Amino acid sequence: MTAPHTSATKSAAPSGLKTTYREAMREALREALRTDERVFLMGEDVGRYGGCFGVSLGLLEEFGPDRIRDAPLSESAFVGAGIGAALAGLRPVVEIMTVNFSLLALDQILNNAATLLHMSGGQLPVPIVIRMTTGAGRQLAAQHSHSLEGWYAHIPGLRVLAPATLTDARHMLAPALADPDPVLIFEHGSLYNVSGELPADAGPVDLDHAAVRRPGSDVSLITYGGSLPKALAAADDLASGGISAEVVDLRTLRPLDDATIGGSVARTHRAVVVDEGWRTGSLAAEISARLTEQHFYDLDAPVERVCSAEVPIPYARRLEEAALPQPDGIVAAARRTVGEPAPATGRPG
Amino acid sequence: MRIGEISQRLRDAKELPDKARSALEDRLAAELDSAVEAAERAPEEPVEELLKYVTSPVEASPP
Repeated sequence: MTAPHTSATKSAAPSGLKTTYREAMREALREALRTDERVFLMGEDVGRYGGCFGVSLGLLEEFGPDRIRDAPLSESAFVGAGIGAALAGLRPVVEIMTVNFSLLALDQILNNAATLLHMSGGQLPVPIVIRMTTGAGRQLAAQHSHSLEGWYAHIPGLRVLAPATLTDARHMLAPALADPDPVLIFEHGSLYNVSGELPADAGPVDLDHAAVRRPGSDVSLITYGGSLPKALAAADDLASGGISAEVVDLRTLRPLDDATIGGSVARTHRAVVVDEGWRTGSLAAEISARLTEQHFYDLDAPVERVCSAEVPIPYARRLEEAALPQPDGIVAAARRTVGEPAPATGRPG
Repeated sequence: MRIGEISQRLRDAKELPDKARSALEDRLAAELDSAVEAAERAPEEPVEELLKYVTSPVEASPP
């Protein structure tokens, strides 16, 4: 798998460093650890094992056990410890293996990290960064494959990021650590092996803005994270059929960049939201509602949503693929918005 | 602790003689081979059943 086409991003450079998403994340951590002695990484197996997805491989040897801390198997305990460290002036980066396991720390994230600033009248900011893997597509079954970032995007007080490109993997961490409030970074598991060239002139990512990854004029495909490569593949397919699709990468799931999303729909007049979360109560539902509220008279067709089937993500590859958004489903939805007949995708529900 | 380390400890403590260990490994290998064979023989899961058992079937008796 190679990095998605990003011709519309301002940082695209003719030459750069050959790398992978995983290595880009690691380099971002390395830079943070080198440049700020308050930064440390903590989580299950981040040290000796190198992280369950290999992101922190080698960092223990480079920075030592005080900065790269293997945590006990208790998400609530080590996220809570990270929040305490942030309150005490450090800049913790806490890694949770998968978003499913983050539910064990939900009390700490919601009731402490996201609320202490408000409850203390502005006295207790919590500058913590919490990274975790999200998403399906690797046959890890229902307890390791869900996309729950939309739940976190529901919570006031948090900033929620979803890096989908090499540049965002490399350059989102520094601005996340500079944020005085808690930042959650969702890394889609299917992206770690994505390889490509990191633009040489890329710098810190503007966390307040979504990115138009591919310009288009007929329909906006609005997506994020692991669904970005699928949306770009769908846009290629649509182009061959004469439909020009614009692909918007949300990048930040909270707060949403209404201006970029709405600007795209104001140009194309049609929208398909692609979200690996379940359809009911999803981030896609939120975006659809905002488009209806803010751009009703720009729309030439109902907003379409392409989401995961409402089922615990199955283990069997055939069923897992059927449960997830796929390019053919995105193409079919886009065609419906322009009034073209779309073949059935064969998926129930 | 890794399986190899546990195995070595058991051998050092004379709790796991070589003959018993070998028999255990053979039995486990046969069990795994059988499971793989059964999985490969099994039909592909029909996509039509993707949403099965998300909730209980409507005809199920109340618990």
